[in-house]
Amino acid sequence: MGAGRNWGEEIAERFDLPPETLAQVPRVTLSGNRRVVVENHRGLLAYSNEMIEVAGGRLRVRIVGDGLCLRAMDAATLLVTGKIQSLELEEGTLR
Amino acid sequence: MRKTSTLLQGSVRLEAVGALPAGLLNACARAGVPFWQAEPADACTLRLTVRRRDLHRVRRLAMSAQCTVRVCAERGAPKYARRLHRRWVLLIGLPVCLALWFLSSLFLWDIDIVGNETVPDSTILRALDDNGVCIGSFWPSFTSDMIRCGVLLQLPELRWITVNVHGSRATVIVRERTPVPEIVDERQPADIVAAKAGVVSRLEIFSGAATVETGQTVLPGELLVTGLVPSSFSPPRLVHAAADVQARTWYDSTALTPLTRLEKVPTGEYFTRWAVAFGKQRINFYRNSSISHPGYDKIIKETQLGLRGVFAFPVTVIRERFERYETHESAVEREPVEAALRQRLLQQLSHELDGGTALSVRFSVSAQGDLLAVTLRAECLENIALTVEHAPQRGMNE
Repeated sequence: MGAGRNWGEEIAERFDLPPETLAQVPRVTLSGNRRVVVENHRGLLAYSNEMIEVAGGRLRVRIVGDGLCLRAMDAATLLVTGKIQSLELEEGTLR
Repeated sequence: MRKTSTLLQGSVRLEAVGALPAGLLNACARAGVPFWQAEPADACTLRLTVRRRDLHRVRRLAMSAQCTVRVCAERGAPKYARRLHRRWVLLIGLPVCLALWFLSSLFLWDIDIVGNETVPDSTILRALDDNGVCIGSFWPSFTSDMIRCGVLLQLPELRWITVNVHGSRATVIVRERTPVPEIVDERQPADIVAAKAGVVSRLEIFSGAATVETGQTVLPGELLVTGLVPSSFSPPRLVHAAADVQARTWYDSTALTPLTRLEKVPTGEYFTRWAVAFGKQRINFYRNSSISHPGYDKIIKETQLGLRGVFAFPVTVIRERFERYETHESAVEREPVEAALRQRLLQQLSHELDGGTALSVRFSVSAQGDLLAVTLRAECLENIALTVEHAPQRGMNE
């Protein structure tokens, strides 16, 4: 296994499986620039109108934009709307 | 639907303050506590809305997320229910009103009649009253068959009736009996006489023997076609005479109208009287009810309380407004009055002709003192045949 990867990701890659099925990685779905759905999240790290940070296991998802709003959230999925300018991923976070 | 549910359950707007207020959202999401309208106020403050019943859970979750929670606002039914908590009269009044409303809906407070054209509403209402359907009657005790039998026996002009009750409003649907056409027994001997005076212009005999000729002047009641038909080979035989006798007739009628009239001029003075009717019981909020008010127009407005078309309370508010007026004699305009009289005379002529045609119509106008007289003279062509029972002496006398 390479650095920063766990066995789940390794197996998923070897067997050509979707990584979110075995590894605890977030699945981010961006619809245009107005809506983003984050599945398999581990919670919010920061929340403001300009930036929302979501913990996703080994990855941290940073949504940057304007007038961002957390429309819905449960233990596994959250929905963010607003004018999304960028999505940034940062590796190495584990919650 | 969700909004209604939230409104009924109640919701609270919270302000969470802490080093990491987003942690409260995480905690709520993990605990399965729904929240909405989550808005960051600043770096350390977050506002969110939760169901009222989740407030205590959210407080506990906030403690674990190291936040303090403050209720900013509250909405929904529980808030208003708490307000009513110590208002016993209101709390008792509501079920009492509902009970009264329910009881009231078991009685009829409004009756509508539809489907009648010739039988007046009052006649039907009277027959319904005789059969137990009236204002204030207990409608669950109605039996459609009993009402139908009773009313149809009482009013033979009707062939069908039904009473539909919606709340405290009854709609009575009726169907009137089709009038039986007059049956002519063509085996009965009959003569034809003149219905009006005129000059016979054309005779079409279908049955019987003519006693007049074209161009002959006839008077009303004069025999035109006899049912006694002579025969060269046998004794005269009796038939049911039938004929179309076209004759020229003349009409002369006059209509009069005064050239002055009394005109009502309202003075602006008025007074109002009020009364309330509970069912058939009327309570007047005034005295001397029997005194009439000459020189006043009486305008009555009755307003029945309830939801129009759906439900009616047995309470009617009656407003009687008396408006004073004075009368002044004024001259009428001659031309419109003359035109109206001509129109009425023409209508009358059309009614009298009954299928005939007017060949010529002339009007003459004259003033007779204070009266305007319009005279119509018309020459018409119409069928003057009138079938009557055969009388042997009729032809002999004439």
